[in-house]
Amino acid sequence: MVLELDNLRYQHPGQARPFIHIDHFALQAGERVLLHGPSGCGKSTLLSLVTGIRPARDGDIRVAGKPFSALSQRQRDAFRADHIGVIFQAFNLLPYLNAVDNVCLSAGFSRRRCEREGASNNRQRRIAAQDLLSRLGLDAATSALPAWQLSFGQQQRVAAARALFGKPDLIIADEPTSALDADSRDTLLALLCEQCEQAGSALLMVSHDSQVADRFHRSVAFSALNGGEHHAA
Amino acid sequence: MLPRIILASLRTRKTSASLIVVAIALSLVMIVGIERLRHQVRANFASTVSGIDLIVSARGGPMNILLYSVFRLSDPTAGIRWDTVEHLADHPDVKWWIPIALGDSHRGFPVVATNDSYLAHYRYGRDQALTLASGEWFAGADQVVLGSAVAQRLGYRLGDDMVLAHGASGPAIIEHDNHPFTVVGILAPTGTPVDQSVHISLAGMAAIHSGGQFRSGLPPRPGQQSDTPGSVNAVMLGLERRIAVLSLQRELSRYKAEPLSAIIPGVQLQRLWRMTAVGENALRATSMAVLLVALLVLVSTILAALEGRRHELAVLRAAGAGRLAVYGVIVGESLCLTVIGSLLGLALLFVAQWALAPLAQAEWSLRLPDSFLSLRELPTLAAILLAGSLAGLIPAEKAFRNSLADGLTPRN
Repeated sequence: MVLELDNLRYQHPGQARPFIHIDHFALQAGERVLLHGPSGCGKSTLLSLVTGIRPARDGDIRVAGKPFSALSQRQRDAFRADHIGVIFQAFNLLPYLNAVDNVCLSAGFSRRRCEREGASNNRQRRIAAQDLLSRLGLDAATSALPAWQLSFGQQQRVAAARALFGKPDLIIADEPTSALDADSRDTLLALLCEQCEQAGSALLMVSHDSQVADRFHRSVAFSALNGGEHHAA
Repeated sequence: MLPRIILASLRTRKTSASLIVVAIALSLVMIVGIERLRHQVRANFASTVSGIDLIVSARGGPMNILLYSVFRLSDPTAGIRWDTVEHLADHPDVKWWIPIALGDSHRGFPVVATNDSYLAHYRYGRDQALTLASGEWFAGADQVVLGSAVAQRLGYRLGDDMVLAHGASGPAIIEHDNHPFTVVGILAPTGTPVDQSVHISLAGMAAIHSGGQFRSGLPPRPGQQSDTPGSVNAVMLGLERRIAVLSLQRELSRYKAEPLSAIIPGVQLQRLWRMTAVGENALRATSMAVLLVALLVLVSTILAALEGRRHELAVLRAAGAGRLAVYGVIVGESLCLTVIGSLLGLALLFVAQWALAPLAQAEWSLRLPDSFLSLRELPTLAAILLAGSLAGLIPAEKAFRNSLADGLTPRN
């Protein structure tokens, strides 16, 4: 199992009842799962817990077999760097760095991911990053531009490349296509799924859009998963 | 990787970053500049009296004696008689002696009447003797030797005639028009009040005040040798053995023929610095306050920028950045700004020293330092850099908390 959630509960400070309440959820190695539900239902909060940025106090989260939620904040940060790639809805990149440097951010925080790319020095990292970018359809000239000069679709592909760098066990994508038009959305999803397949990474994507479900092995409605009180807001 | 992120991120915020850099640079100019000036003034003063063991004058306040006799910053006390001077000259402990008679001025520059010993024995800095940049030392009563600053400011050259006035300062009230002097020598710069002085012979000064006419040499007057005036204001002494200073000082304070004071210039300088310490500390406190303001500007600017950088930090967090990396980015930024600000400040100071050096030399005979950074200033610089990086801790903690609260996706 790449990801296992058991009895996960989370409530925002001051709330009486848990906002997130998941009895069990699991993701197998290499599995692609779509988690869909309306905006504001708690999907992003769940992802913050799964990535370990927000501490989960109640329940178990295991990533790649490791009891993630029992680790310290610092250990979780290091573990995230090694095992999880993240793609946001927007603003994925440091605007002042170029595409290659943005991809290399992952490498900078994780030796494991560098080793898995066979990149032991800075030059090899950049070659590996450029290689990944070209597989996602960005040529060398485009990759050398500062990120703010890229189109939105290109930026999301750079974000995908950064998440995929070093073949992490799990890729987490938070509405990565919601700001794209239909064509760009399909291109990005096709590339993302293809590269996940190649890297052997599992993909957990949340989206309010269930139309894209056919690219995934499984599609789960967030409301079916979450028994917590999430309609209060 | 972090340095790259810090620099690239700062480049996108050039305006606010440069303002902080300038604020830090200016506070460093104040702190280090004041310290350098203080040090240089002390070094200059110490250099001025470096070779003198004792200064003997008519009884008076020791500080006043020091200030008027060497630094020409105060009014001279009453004179001491020539036979006392001769007594000192013949004293077995005395190696050399320099008589000083003051009271006249030329266009604001003090006139010092003395003799050949001044050129031969006066020492400044590290045992350096006076040298003539051009011409020669005076030989006659109507000849004058100018300090370098006097010659430069007033534009005198060898062979020029000049008129000396009675009274030590301000516009001359009575000009001794009938006694034109001729410039025969100009001294090389020393960085001491010597540069600001007009040197004549004792006979020359006696002639000014006698009202007599002369053109070459002084007509002998009853009861005096041709080059011995009735009195001088002070005598600088160099001793055979420095160890004799205290005993000679005691001996002279009990001198029977007339009341004398003998001061040790080094000791008086120490007293002077203790007196001026209050003012120096006030200046130092002011410059510290300026630095504090600059650091507050630094903190508040970085804090203000954090709101706009929430996405940037979320990206870093998602890529695996922990507390250490977030702190690294923010503290690194404040340290980077402090370093650039400090370097700019040092550069400004260096340029200012270079630009103001001729003025300071001419106006105050003050030698400005020509160093970019001296060993002595390293602790100050280290303290500023430390303060700059500590200032980054506040926004760094805030940034990390933001990232926890934002989770994976910051809102806006």
